[in-house]
Amino acid sequence: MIAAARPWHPRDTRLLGLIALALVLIALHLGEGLDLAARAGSGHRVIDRQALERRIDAGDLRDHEAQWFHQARPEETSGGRRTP
Amino acid sequence: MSAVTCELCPRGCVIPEGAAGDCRVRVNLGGKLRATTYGRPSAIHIDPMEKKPLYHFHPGTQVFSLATAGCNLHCLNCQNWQLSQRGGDEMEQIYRVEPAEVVAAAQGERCRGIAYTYSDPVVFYEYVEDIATLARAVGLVNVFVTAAYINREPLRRLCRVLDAAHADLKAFDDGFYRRVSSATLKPVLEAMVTMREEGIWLEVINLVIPTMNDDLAMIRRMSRWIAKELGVDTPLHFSRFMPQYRMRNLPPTPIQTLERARNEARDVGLRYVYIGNVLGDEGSTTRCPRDGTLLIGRSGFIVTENHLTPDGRCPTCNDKIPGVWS
Repeated sequence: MIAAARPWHPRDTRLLGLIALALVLIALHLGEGLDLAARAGSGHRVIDRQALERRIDAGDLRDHEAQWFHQARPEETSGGRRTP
Repeated sequence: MSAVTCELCPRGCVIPEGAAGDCRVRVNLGGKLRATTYGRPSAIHIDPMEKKPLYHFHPGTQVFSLATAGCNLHCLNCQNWQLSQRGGDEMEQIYRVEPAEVVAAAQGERCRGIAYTYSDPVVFYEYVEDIATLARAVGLVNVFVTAAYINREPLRRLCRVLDAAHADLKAFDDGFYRRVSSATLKPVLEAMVTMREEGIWLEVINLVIPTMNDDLAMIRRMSRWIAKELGVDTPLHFSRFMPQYRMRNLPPTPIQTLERARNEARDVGLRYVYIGNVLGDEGSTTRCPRDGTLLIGRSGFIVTENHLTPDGRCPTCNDKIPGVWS
């Protein structure tokens, strides 16, 4: 009740506004992250290539040629593909 | 060296040279996509068919089950995250088993078939296809346990060597798929329809997570969709959620919630609706939809009684019960 008794100051409004703005920005950032994660064409992971090749050379993994791929087209590497 | 675009799943990863797809195991080396876990599973077990769970497909038999590292989904509640959310190079345990050796091992263990399971077998597609082709040639069945996040053309081709699929429909809500699994709903629905069109035996599972996907109206919509697009004879399993991985903040699913979900699904016409992950529940029993005769009793993953006739009919009314029984 001590806080309630204290007179309201304009800086309180600014502080609340700042907190609200931060929350909105965090929500937008998280939402964009979720959307990106689910979007076609968005996914690749940087890997430790040398470690992978060592495992392949040791026989722990394989370099078996996969199916179902094509050389990326310019419009694919430039992003902007639609979510399926 | 050039980037490649993976066409296997709806994610359509554009992968620069030296990088992996989102699944971690399909890698662009030298401008060609490589399946790095081909012949290198990290999990091999012999399971009851009921553990997949498949209830209308060779009940009471054993199935040789295997998986490699990697997955094209990233579910916050994943129960196999130590396997699925790692690349092959991060695994401590890797077996070296060529397709012919898998088939020979399954035969040696007197298994009815081979299940591609645990992580999502979509990401080790080539290994699945090669094993399944050999397995079919010697009379073993092939079971695909999947989240069905796969493009239509690769799936159609794979279905030629599959006998059954157990598809995980995580929710009937695109937002859920995005938030919880980093995926989208529509391709999953399309894949299930494709499996049905291709004529493989299909059962659907829905893990009911408290507050996340336990809305009965949504469950009703999902059940209606299954009835319309896959058929009322498609078995649907409502499974109990247990806190896992990055979703430990939620409690296990109350049994009453599962029962309500089951009632909704039956109410819209689905004829075989089960409750899973609940030991000894009536919801794991198969009954004749016409007269209620107990057809198959189960306790956990064990078939305790099977009263189906040899050709898969109810012993009371002689109705044909859909499934693969022989």
